[in-house]
Amino acid sequence: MTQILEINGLTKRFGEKTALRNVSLSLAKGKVLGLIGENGAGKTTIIKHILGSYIPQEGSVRVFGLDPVKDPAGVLGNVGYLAEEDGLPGWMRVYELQRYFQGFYQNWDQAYAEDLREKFKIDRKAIIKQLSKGQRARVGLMAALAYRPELLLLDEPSSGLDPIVRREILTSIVRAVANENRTVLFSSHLLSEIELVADQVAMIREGEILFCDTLDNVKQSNRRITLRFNAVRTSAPEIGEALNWEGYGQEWSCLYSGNTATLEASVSLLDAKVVEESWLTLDEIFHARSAPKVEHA
Amino acid sequence: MAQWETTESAVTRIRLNQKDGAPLYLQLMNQLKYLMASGRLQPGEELPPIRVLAERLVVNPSTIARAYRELEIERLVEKRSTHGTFVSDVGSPLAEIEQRRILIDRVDALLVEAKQFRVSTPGVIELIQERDAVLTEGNLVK
Amino acid sequence: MLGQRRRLSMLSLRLCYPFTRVLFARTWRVWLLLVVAIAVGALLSYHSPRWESISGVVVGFILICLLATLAMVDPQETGASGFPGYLQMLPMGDTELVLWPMIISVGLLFGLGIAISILIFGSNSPISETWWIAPYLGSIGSQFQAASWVPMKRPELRACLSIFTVASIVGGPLAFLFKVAGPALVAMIYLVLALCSMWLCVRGVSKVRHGEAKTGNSDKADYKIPELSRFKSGVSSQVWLEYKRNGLVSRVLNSMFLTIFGIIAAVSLFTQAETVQIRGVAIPLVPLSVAILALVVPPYLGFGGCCGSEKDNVSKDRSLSTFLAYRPLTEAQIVEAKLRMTFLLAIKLGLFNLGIALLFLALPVQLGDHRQTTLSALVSILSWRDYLILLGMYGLMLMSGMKNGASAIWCSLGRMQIWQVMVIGMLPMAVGTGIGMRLFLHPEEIKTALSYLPYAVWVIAGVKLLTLIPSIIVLRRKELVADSVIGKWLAFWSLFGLALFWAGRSLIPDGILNSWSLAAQIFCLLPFLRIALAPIFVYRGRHQ
Repeated sequence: MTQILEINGLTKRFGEKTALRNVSLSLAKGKVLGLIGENGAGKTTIIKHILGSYIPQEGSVRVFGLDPVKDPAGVLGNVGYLAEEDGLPGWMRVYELQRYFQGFYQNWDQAYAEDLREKFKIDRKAIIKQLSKGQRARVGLMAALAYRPELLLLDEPSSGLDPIVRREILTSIVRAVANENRTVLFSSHLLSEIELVADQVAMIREGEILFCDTLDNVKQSNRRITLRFNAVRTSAPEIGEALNWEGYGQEWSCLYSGNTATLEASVSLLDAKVVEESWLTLDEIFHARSAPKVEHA
Repeated sequence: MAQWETTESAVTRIRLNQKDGAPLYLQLMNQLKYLMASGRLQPGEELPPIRVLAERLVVNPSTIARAYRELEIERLVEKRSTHGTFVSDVGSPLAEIEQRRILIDRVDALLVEAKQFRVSTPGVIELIQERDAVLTEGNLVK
Repeated sequence: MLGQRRRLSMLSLRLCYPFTRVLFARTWRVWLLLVVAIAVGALLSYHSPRWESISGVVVGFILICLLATLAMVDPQETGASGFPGYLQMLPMGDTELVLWPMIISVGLLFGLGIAISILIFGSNSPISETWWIAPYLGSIGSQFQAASWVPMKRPELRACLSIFTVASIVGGPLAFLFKVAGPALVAMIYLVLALCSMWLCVRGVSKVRHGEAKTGNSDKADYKIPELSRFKSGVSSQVWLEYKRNGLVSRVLNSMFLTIFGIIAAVSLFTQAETVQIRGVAIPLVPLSVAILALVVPPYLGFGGCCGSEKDNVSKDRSLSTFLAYRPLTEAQIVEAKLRMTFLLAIKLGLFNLGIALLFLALPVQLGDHRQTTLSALVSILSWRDYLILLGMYGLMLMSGMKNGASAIWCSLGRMQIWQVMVIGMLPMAVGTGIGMRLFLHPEEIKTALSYLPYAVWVIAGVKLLTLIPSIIVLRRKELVADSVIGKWLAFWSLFGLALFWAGRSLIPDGILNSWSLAAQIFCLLPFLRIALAPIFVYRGRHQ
């Protein structure tokens, strides 16, 4: 499978602060990668490296096999970028924006652009800065999709937008992947969105990748199990592949990443039984994983 | 593909629940199974193409593909090359005894919990009928 | 005692904070430039205490003020009012918010002007006569603020107010020069104008602040989308953007200059026609110089296209504006688009101004005397060789405009860079205007000035050569420009330089310039260093 994006051992420091530490990511064609993490964790810094705004201090970034710093035209010509704050020139009219973008991209499909514009109910004559925030996001989406870029980069595309626009953005991602086999990298703090459309999830905390795996594996390895012990315990039990213990007395629960058979074996040794095993939403996993680690005695 | 844009197939009324942490493909499988069991998806009926359902539900197409694949492994649906995915018409691949066994397990668990909550058996039956009415109205969300 | 001091400090705090803070934050660069301009003027006057040289500096300073005002107020992005939105949120009344900073700035200018004219030059010197310049400058500042802060339903109204401001820039000095009004009267008029502007500003800002301002949003219905062809490449798309958006400042400035020149030309109709003798024919001085100025301006305004870029007026960081940085263009293509734009703007403005200049020249020399125009007098003395030389000189000016363009590409790297370019670019312009004016009035000093020239030229040429070599190495190492392009471009400019050398040798009479000095001057003139540096700057701003 062709790798659209490959990041290897990327490190970036801004003065004293380490923004990214040894980040490695790869993204195959046709996949959707969801990037999650708190504000300031380094999501935007990764995206800026992909766009060539930052020069890697260590490690490398390759997009379509090209270096975005050395070949900005080659990389940016095939990347559709939609950011949280709309970076479009506010003074342009919508039709002017279409014409301006047409010059840059050989693949610009004016019929598709017009199709999207009509679907989003945007006036061709409208001056961009006079549109509402949601409408501006739609214009941005139209501009990012109409040349059918190989890679779509969406940096918090839906923050501050109403549910209708957010759904349109998600639908566009799904459509780009399903119908055109495009690749998408998408950061959001709305984890339910990521859960809907992502194949892979990478969680980043303080500049480090905590995990990067398929959504199914992430879910599989972050189940919550509750154990009931026959005797009262004062400290958390120790079981391999279990994390984030909480509870008291006879009932204790944890995040468990192993398979059920080994769990049952180790549980029976501890004179306990599994009373509940449940799936967690990505949101819950995120909270459990981003909580500071508590050291147990 | 156009037919799927307009027809109100039972499948298009599937709603995935985000608050339930279960993987989406599992939710989709369960709901498709329910539709088949309740007869709203007839043997031989075609399921929507992956892309269409993905767009409809706003989920990644690979989620749909996985659900279809798992159902295919369980022989509940079959792929006819290039035509699409259809509900199997070879009769229910889950033998009746098997179905019964699954149901007995579930009912047992239900009755134990009801006992703990001090709900009488007629009360449970009433609740079952109530839920059934809700589900047949097509509101699949819990 | 303690309580009193505390109250006093509370009072001074109330006065100092936040509006003086705000004022200082927004205007300190203007103050800096003012001080520098005055220092240069004082130095020149110290050398030769005649007021001609300082008037050159003042002219230069007004140019700076104009540009500064334009750089601070973004004419298209602001919508209803140029009054900054973040200031509207301060917990202060409208009057307090607007009036205090304005009064303080006018008052400070006034005090500074009086202090300079009396303390530095002494009350007996002719300079002290020009103390009206202080209220004049303060008033102009207030008028510009009024023109940009007051919400206008129609853009024409704003244009009228701006033109009035421009007229008042010229009116006072003219009235003083032609002795229509004494300094006291001029100062009075400008103080009244300043008060009116302040009143307008308070009203305008309070309207904007409380949402009463209506913006002209009605143009959507009757707006027609023109039939336009598709851009051939990203570079032509970018040239279009630069022209439409960033060229606006240049177009506005050009119309302001033309207004000023028009007023001067109109006033000259009423006065005794001054003439210069060229080849034995008397040519009216004012229409000729106004026409020449109108033609000189466009090549230098072309660089406006390079300065601007999306959001650069607000961004403090040194990075290329993200919108431009994310276009799929190479660094060389970004520079190419900006330089093409410089050229396009210079040519378009040049053709327009040529028409206006011909109009100036075709005016009768004096009101009621239709027999002779400056144009007819000029045509009678110019040969085809003169026209060719003039055309060649225009080409050189275009080239030096392109040079300004290349250095102004810094400006797309944030606000600080704009100021750097303004200080670097405008100060020599102001000083040059002063020196030029002096030499114009004292032609006997031209020889002395020329004797200093070779040394300056040699130093500049040396510095340029020392910078050019490493920049070509960087260009090649970072693969910003293909080797073949660097080769072609060095070859082109070398040939061009040789042609210039040959033309210079055959045109300049012997004894004025030796060949070495001429070669060094041509080397300084050629734009290859700045064009070589431009992609490196863009690269550094784009990838951090």
